[in-house]
Amino acid sequence: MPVEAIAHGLAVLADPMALAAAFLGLAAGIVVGALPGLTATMAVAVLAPFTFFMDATVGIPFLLGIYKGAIYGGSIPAITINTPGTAAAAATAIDGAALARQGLGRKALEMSLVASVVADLLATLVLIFVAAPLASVAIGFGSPDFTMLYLFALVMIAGVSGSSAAKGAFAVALGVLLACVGFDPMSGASRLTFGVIDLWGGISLVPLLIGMFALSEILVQAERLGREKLAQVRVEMSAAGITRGEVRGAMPTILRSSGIGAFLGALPGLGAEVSCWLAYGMAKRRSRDPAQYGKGSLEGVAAAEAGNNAVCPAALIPMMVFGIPGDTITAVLLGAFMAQGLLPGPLLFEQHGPVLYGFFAILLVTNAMLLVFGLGAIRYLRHITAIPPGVLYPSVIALCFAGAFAVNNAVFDWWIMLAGALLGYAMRKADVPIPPLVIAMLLTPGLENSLRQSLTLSDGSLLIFVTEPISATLLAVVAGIVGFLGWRSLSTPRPSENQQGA
Amino acid sequence: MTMRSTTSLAIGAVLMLGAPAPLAMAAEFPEKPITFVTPYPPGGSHSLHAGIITTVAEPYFGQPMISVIRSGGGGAVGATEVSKSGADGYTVLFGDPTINSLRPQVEDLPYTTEDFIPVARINYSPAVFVARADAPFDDLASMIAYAKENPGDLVYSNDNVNGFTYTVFELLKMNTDTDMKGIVYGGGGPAVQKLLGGETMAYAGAPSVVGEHIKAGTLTGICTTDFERWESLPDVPTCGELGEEIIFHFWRGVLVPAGTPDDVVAKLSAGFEELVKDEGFLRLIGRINSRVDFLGAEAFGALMAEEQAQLKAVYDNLN
Amino acid sequence: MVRQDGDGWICLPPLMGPEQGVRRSAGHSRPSPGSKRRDRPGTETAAQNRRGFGPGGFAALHRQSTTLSALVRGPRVRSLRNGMPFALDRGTIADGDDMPARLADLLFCLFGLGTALAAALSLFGGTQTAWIETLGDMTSPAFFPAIGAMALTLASLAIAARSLAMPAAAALQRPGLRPPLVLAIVFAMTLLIGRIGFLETLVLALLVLPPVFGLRDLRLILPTALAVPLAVHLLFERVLLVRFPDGLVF
Repeated sequence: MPVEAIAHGLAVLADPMALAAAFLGLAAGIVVGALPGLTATMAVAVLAPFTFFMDATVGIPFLLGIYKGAIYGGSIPAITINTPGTAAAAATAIDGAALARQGLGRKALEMSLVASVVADLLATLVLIFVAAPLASVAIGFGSPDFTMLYLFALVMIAGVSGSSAAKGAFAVALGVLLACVGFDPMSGASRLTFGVIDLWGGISLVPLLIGMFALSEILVQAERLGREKLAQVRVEMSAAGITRGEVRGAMPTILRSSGIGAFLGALPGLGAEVSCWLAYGMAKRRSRDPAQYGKGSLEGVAAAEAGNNAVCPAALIPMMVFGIPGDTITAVLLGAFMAQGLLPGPLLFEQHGPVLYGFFAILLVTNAMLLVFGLGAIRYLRHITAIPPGVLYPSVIALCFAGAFAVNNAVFDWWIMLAGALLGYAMRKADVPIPPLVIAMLLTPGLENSLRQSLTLSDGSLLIFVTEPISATLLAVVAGIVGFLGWRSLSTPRPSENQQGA
Repeated sequence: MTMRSTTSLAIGAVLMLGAPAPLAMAAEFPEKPITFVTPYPPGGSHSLHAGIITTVAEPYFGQPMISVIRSGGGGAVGATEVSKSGADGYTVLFGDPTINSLRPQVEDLPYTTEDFIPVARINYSPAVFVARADAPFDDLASMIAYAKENPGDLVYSNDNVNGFTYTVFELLKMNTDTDMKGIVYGGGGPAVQKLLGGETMAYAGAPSVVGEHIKAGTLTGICTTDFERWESLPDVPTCGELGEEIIFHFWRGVLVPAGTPDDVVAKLSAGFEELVKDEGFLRLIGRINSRVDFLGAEAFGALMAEEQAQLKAVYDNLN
Repeated sequence: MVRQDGDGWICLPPLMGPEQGVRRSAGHSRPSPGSKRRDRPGTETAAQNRRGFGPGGFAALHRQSTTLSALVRGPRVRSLRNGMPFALDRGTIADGDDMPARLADLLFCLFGLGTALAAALSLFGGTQTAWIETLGDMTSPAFFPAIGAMALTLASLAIAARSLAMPAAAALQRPGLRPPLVLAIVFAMTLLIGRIGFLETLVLALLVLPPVFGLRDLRLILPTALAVPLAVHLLFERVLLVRFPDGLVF
């Protein structure tokens, strides 16, 4: 660890422009994240060209601020109005919104903030101190290893889905089919497109999720308004914040989720969207009180938020060390780095060490900013519940329309959003869980591609999954979990129904 | 807003009178912003170039140029959308050989090569064949020898079927009559990751992607698919120098839908010709390890016609 | 794959919200599910008959239901039923104003079967042999969609079978008029955008939607209908350079 490089890096902090840019980016990012449908990817992609003409120490901190702010910001509407602002906050909505319905929205918001900041801090330290070793581990992940990793994620998440096996399986199967729609890069064939050229690009995830989560939630609220008095629908947010004990209690969960997020972030291909679910699923498995998950568990909020925020700094690792972007947003950041003359790759740290440590220092400072800024803002977020539904929901609908189009500039995406709204509402009515569908859509492309790549490598032999050490280990873990679950579900008495309904 | 609203009002009024829309074209082109469509997701070299071009474009066209990313289907969705947009020069495609020359000829796409008029080539990149540092070969001769001795054992990464990293390997295999195994990773990122991680032995990518790794020694440069050596990689020979005439230029160029009036095409072409001399443009394009190889509408059109015929011949030969 | 021990999270259950808490605490007693199940089949059938299933259609369904339930009924199903919080999550049962949950299950089954069939037709054009070949070849582009379609078919049948095997499903609250109204407005918006433009559509929608959510105060509606489209224009079209479909005015 070159000390002088860090010293040079800290000098960047003396530049008020750099700090101002980072703060502006952070604030803009929170807004971007909090508006349903406006994604960090989109904001960074559009704003990146403007930073090309700025100084590197101004432009890059601005973009990093947006990235970080947006991932945190997604949790705000997820908690307050049960509408995840970004796909990565979908898991946060489950317990966050449940807490808000009990009037405990402020606790949930603060827990989400603390978990985000802690996870981000830990992952940033990982980025600073062990980027190179972690990157060489991540780069060694071959196709069979990825196949097993996706399978592992699927098992971890699917094991905690839904109240009915048949309905959970239905949602997973539908998600698999939806994920298969479109152009298949491996064969060049188009699948399940029914001759519609817009479907060649696949079912765009963001518009679908806007429909399934945001619009269907609005439909549910419309239904409630028809049935109940306004006063009953509105829940006052209590002024009580989280206590030290609650933070301490959630700390093991936060640490574990940060680890998951940092590791998944360092692996190219899996992003915050998968990480939040995996962290949530793992936390639930390890929890002493799993029944509370879904009904308003602060731990659940902490797990999901730590899981997605830890991804952000960690995703910079393969991007900086190897010039390999793990997802679209790091790909855009890679372009922004290049336009500043900072060519990501094996020589980056050697040639531009001081500037990079400057960025790291900025990342740490934005973390502190996020905490202060967030704690201040949360006081005012209480007032969201005071907005009349007649103003709030139509405005959210307008934003959904804007966001769904902005992702791809595609008129067709409005139809996807509409279909998502109808399907999501029907699924809620019929008690078919939505998360397994989303998770299946997120994991299927990776699982399918890596499976097919592995089998092409091995000329069709499944032995490849056993002969590769990482893959074999993961396979053993997956088999172990499945076996354990099978054994436990057979041997333990089922909890009585009264417990469920409580 | 005023600009947009007045023109929209004018168009609206004309439409209401039942007059044909092209009347609105009578004024000097361009009189509203030009949409610059990139058919690939954000983050690739295409969208990076598009970002730079559209940021500096306004003074050269008198109207802003708006970068729109319309990805999907490996570029087919964006290309189709542009081909069906009004042939008025206000929607242009940032194309390349894959979506404009190869795939419409060999795949069943909703557009053909005839549906576009070339306007300007901005630049091109050759492909650079690379091998992992510890691969059992470190130059073209030993690579071919290895492939001949171990048919099907030389495993290489590529991005997408019929993409340029795929096509150059098809050319190499055809020219040298060898059998190598290509794994499609669906993108440059995973393709390079699997190469560096040791799953594959070779790859062929743009200099901006593999250049730093060649300099750092993690990858060995085998040869480039150009007439001359690439400036920033002077130690990597061309494939031609080593006796395999493999030329493939992955160009980035601007195209408009067929039917666009000639004077509009000429105006756009002239605008881009000036744009590529812009100081800020040149500085940024240098920083991203790219350069300018401008061709106007006519020269670009001739090049494309030649390229399309060549690729067709190669493809027919493969089957 | 999915555990049955009841600690699964209930995913964003719309009817698990405070309204339930409110109702419960307000003293709505819920009959114990066991007893409810035993004595409801007759009323359920009658209710379903009234709600638009033609007598013939329903009779057919019912016949199917007996065979299906005969197939799946057994110790395993019984243990499933005992372990399931199935009926509990369906919301409270208000008299006479409920939609049978079974109807929703059957509709989902039909939707799933239809989707799987469409996928199969799109993949194989109805040929039988391709299926078998595909399932043997994991590298085929049709492998995953084929697996997905098969799983969807099985899951749909399982939903229907379980729903019918249960002597009585719990009730489901009727959506009322508002959700379809909101959906219709959103649908109309999508159609209108191409005709009158994006921002114009937003203004219109923001004038029409508030009353659906119980707001009739023009002093609130009008400023919202102007401010939100303006904010969307500034943020999306000015800052983020998104080009929404042009309209008549903007």
